[in-house]
Formats: sequence, structure tokens, C-alpha cells
Amino acid sequence: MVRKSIHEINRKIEDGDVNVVTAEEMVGIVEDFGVEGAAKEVDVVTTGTFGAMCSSGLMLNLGHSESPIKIQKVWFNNVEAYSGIAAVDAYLGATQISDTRGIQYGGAHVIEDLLREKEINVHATSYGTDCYPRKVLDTTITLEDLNEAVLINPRNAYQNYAAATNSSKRILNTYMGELLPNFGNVTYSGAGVLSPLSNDPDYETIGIGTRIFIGGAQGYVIGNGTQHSPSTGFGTLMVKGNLKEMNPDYLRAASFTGYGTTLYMGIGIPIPILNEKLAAATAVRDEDIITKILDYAVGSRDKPSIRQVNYSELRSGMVQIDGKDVPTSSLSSFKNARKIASELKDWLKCGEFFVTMPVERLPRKGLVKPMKQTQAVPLVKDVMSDFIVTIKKNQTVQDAAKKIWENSFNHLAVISDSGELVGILTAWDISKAVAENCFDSVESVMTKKVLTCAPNEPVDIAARRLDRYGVSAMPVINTQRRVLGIITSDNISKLFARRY
Amino acid sequence: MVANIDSTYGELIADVNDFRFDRIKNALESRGAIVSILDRPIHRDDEECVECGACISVCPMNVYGFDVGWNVQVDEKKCIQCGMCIRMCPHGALKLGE
Repeated sequence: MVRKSIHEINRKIEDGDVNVVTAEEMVGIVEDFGVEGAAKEVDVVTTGTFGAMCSSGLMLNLGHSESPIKIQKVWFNNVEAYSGIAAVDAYLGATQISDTRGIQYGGAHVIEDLLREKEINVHATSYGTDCYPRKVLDTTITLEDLNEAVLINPRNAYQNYAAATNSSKRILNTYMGELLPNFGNVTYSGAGVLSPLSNDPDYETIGIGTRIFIGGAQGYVIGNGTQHSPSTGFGTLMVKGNLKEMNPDYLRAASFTGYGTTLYMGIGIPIPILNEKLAAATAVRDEDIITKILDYAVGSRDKPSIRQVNYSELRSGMVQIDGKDVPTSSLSSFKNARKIASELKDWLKCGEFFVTMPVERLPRKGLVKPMKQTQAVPLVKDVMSDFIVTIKKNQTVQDAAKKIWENSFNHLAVISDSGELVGILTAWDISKAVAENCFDSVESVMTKKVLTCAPNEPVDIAARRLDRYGVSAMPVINTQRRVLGIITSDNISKLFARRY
Repeated sequence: MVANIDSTYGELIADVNDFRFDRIKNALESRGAIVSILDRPIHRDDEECVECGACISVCPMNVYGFDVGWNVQVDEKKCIQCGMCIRMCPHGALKLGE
């Protein structure tokens, strides 16, 4: 039975004869020597991960100005930060996008720019008080001008994460990258065998106070992360580290097309091997880490699971969905995860890093809750117009023009003889037909690829579809493609006008 | 070869031998096709690239892949300039060459 203490291990680190391996190497060691043999030989196993961690941000202090200002609103390079804490403290979130540069530049980019010693423009406003009379402030600062610049990331280093795919007919832009239609690809994130929390699933050594590698500096776990859900194996960490000690190799801003910005964080956590149980835990392999592939075509919170898959299958580059080979992509960098685990190993071996036990363990039980919503989600059927004007596809353009005029209604739903929606025709299409001197059937001028929605879809999903494809109205159809109504941007804006 | 042809319009991308190119070009142009050389292959900025591999699953021509060290390899010659990878790369490391 192996029982080591943290002090023994730290003494070995100091003496320079500590035995450290990465979590990848540990798999082979436990296979060759068994759990007891590995626990005797190995003192510390290092883990690493380098991926998009949206719940990250910088807590900073500017120092007081002359004359003093109690900052109410503040922008760093036109990215708004939160300053509702004291006078010159501010929190800049990674996913806050720029007011002026769209989703290509956000909080994460400001943080990386600061780290790279670039100059950052600060604009601040305030309502002014007797003790803080100043109302507007503009200045330019660099990282070393700040008093404190500490990364305090509320949710990092997920223990596990679902993979993503897309069953719809259109490309989806998500925080899991671009998802190609008809199960065109699967994206995933996570370091698998090297993933920190996956190597200590009972949170024996990873807890409050655990010293970690973060962004190239030494930092700490300060608690469980938000949305920590240990009962389902989805633990998260809240971490802190001093930006002034970090390295841009391990902290990189990123932007996902159509989604927004995020911060790629490099995190590595050493796991002291105090007993056989920890040796066994750190021998976890890619094939032992199982996750689901969720279908992002469904815009709701609970997305359907297409199938289960393990990290070995994901990393192979190809998974099977319905008998078809689907290519996979990682969004996190396994190469950098290895680099981090290896660098942390070097720090330990060189006596530059000492391991700690947590001062308080993370909760091992608990489930993340969804948001409580006190206002019912309006559905398409609650806001749609049920006054619809239809026209048969073999009727003429002239009939269509007449219907639009007589009904003062711009969108005609074109139906087949059996009553199914086959197209849509608007005054725009009529104008085009007249301009081209074409007065044939409705079928020849109508738009065949009609965007539609279902009566039980939430209004937000329908609104998004109208917005995304730039259309002004969508017929509401049932599963037999019968037109039940029509929803226009008017219906939706009236709904939102009432809300606000 | 990759083709997309319907009743009103068609596009075709093919890999042809250098010495046969002129003959093929003339044959297609004499039948009314427009022929252009795809000579602006994808370019990767090695400083920006974090070797995540996001580009791998969206490329229709398998330009990208991992080597044994989990570095992303780029085979520019296969690139057909569709631009999918440019939108996919979270770090803006990919651009079409000038």
C-alpha cells in the first residue's frame, strides 16, 4: 500500500530528484508496472490543456487619476469593461465584443494586446461626486502601468465537453466552429488523456489553493468554476493568475466566425501521486473519456444527442454517424496541451514549482441548474398572423398581382393542388417579372426555396432565422407543409416592443 | 476533380498536368468555358497558428492533417481557394495568397 505525503514530494522537488511524468506517459507506466508499482515510482503526473475558455477575464486596477474619477463606464480599445466596483477597478471579459470593430476584436484581444505590451486606449465616464469630481477620462496605458492585472476566470478547464455536429441543411456558425450541413463534420474540444480534471475525477488534489500552470505563469485554483456539475462528470474550475507573469504562447485571443471572441488559455495542473488511487486515475486514456455528439441544428438549450463517442475516436479524425464517415476537428490544441504538460514537468524537475494540497476540496456532488424563467417563452403560433393569402402555382402573375393589391398583403404563399407550400411570391417578384416582361405562371417567378417555421418553435428561433437570411416573412407550416399562418418581422417587433 | 453542374450553370475544378494545360484550356475555351488558374493557394501564418486542427474537418480537399507530433501539416497544392478554412480558423492564421 502506497502512502506518500505532499511534504516528501516537495522535498524531492527541492533536492532535484523528483520523478515526474506527463499523463500520457503515465498510461504506459501503469500498464507496465501496475497501479502499485506506478504509485511507488511516480511522484507527480502533469496534465495540460489549451483551448477556448470563454468564461475568462481580467481584473485590473488603473490607479487614481488627477483629478480623481469614480469610473462608471469604461472602454479599453472600444471594448466595454465592467467598472461597477469602486473607483478605478475594472473587469474586462473575454467575450465582450468591440463597439467599433465587430466580432473580430473583443476583450480577449485587449487582454492579449496588454500581455504583448501594446498600448491600450482607455475611455471612462462618470456622473461625478464631491470626492470624485471628474466626469470624463481618456488615457493610454500598457500592462506595466496597471497596479494589478489578474486573470480571474470563472469557468475554465472543463472536465469533459460535448462534441458538436449539424443535421440541418445550412452551415451553422457556433462557438464550436463552423458546423457543415448534413453531418458534414464533428467538432470537439478537450485534451482527453491530458485533461486536468479528467485525471483527478474525485478532485482529491485539485481544489481550492492548488498551484497550477496558467498562461505560462504560476497561478491557483480558487474554487469550483461556475456551472460545476460533478454528478454528471462536468466539473469546472475557477482560476487566477497574474497577467504580468504570463506568456503569449499560452494565452491567445480567438474569434469564431459568426459567434464572437474567446480566450484560448493554457492551463496545466500537477497531480501528486500520493496513493494507488491517484496512480490509477492518472492512467486514464482517450478511449476512457466518453462524451456525446450534440446536434446544434436544434437551437434550444437541450440539444439532441446523436451518439456517444470517446476521445480516441474523435482524435482519430473520423467518426461514424448513421453509417457515414464524418471528419472531426479539434478546436483545442493537443500539441500545446502536450507542450504545457511537458513544461510543467520541467519546472518541477528544476525545482521551480512546488505542489500543494487543496485547503478545501471542490464539491464532488451537484448538478448545474438551468435558468429560472418567469416569463413564458412565446411561440410562433402566439404571434403569427393567421390571415394568409394563398395562390396556386399554376395561376398567373397577373392573378398574383391582383391578390396582393386586393388584400393589401405583400406575401403570397404558393401552394400545390394538394394544398402544400411550394413557394413564396412577393411584390418584389412581381416587379421583377414585369421588368423582364414575363407574365407566365406563378410557378415560373416564385421563390422555391422558402424559409419556413413551425408553430411550436420559440419566437427567438424564428426571429433569428428571419434576421440571418434577411427575409421579411416566413410562412408557418405544419408537418404536412400546410400553411397555418405567416410570421413577419412586424409581428416580432410588436412583441418585443411590448416587452421593453 | 470536383464539379457542380446544373441546367443553367456549372463549375469544375481539376488537377491537370502542366504540359497538357494549354491544350485542355484551348479545348474548354473554344466551347465557351472560362478557364482560370487557381494560383493563390492558402497561406498559414505560423505565429498565429496554435495547431488546434479546426481547419481539418472543413476542408473539402484534405489540405490539412496532423503529423505524428500533432502539428498541423498544410499541403497548399491541393487548395481550391474555397475559403472554408479561413472562416473556421479561430486565430485568423489562414489567408489566401496574393
